[in-house]
Amino acid sequence: MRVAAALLAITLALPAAATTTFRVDDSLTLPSESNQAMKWRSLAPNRTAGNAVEGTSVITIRLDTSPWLNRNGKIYMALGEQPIGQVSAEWTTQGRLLPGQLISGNRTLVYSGPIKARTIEDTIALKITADGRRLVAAQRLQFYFEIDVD
Amino acid sequence: MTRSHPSSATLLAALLCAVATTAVAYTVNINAGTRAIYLQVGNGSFTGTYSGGGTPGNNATINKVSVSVPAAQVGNGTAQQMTSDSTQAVSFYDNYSFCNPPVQVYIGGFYRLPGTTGTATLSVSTSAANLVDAAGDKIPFTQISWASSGNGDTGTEAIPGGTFTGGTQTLTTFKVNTWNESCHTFSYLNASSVAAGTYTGRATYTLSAP
Repeated sequence: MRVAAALLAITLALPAAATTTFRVDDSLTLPSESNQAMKWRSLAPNRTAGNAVEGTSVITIRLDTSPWLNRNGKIYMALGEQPIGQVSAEWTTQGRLLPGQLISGNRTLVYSGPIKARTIEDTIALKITADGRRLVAAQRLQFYFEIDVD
Repeated sequence: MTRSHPSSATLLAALLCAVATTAVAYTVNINAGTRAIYLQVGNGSFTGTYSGGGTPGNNATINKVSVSVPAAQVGNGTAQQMTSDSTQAVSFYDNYSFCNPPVQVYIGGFYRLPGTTGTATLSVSTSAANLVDAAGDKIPFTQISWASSGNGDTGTEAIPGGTFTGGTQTLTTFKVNTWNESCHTFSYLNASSVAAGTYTGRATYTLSAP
């Protein structure tokens, strides 16, 4: 009985399909570093807008997908946890990548399908929102991309 | 064996360098919001709506509170409630009908500052120690007091009641990133007989932050 139980556990632990995650080189993204002046969403504190500050940047994303050419992959944009608490990002695209939103500490799908080109490029309008009560000094937000390939 | 160790170390170092030189993150530097301060006494202005990120405006109106004391009651010690020409009933905080003009005068504001610490100080200064009529007769500003309330309010008022001192006095402090508001009802204390006349004076409210 003890052997059977061990075999069952091993069977359940096996994934349906092996997926590997890689960081995607986005070193050709422009600008690679930008400064965003944040504005109070509402100049006066109130129940609706609270104490949020927000700002928008336009960024041309260039992802080097050559290592995964002709493979299927899912690309995600990610942002790590921030010391100033929850930071949210919301973006629109020109269509090459998916629009979406992202909360710090998470990642969001921006591309899914076959990798047919060595580079995926799109221009996004990125709106960032943070808690103005916690954002008391400049904060660096380092966004990055990951790809899951089968 | 001994010769293979340096080779392994060299290869590992080369790989690490390759990884380190590949930029895999774009950076957005976000900066703190700007400071802002707002005070409204009586009628005020606000552009837009809160949900649309409304912005306070400037309103140059100087509202007036006044009372006519019946001759038979002059100086009898019975306080005379004053009325104002303010029409501000709603709070720009949420458009709630907070004050009851013309008896009540709205007073409110906020202090915007990144962070959670800091205060702004609300004070009031009178133009002189006394209200004065055309003949030079005087009534001390200390004869005017106010009660504080607000529709739906419970507990301590944000801007409490008091009496003018005839100089500069601190009324309260505003904590950062909070909206503070009250409705003031002014009264003339009517403590002494004075000559007939129209007595005027001005009180200026100031919200200041370091």
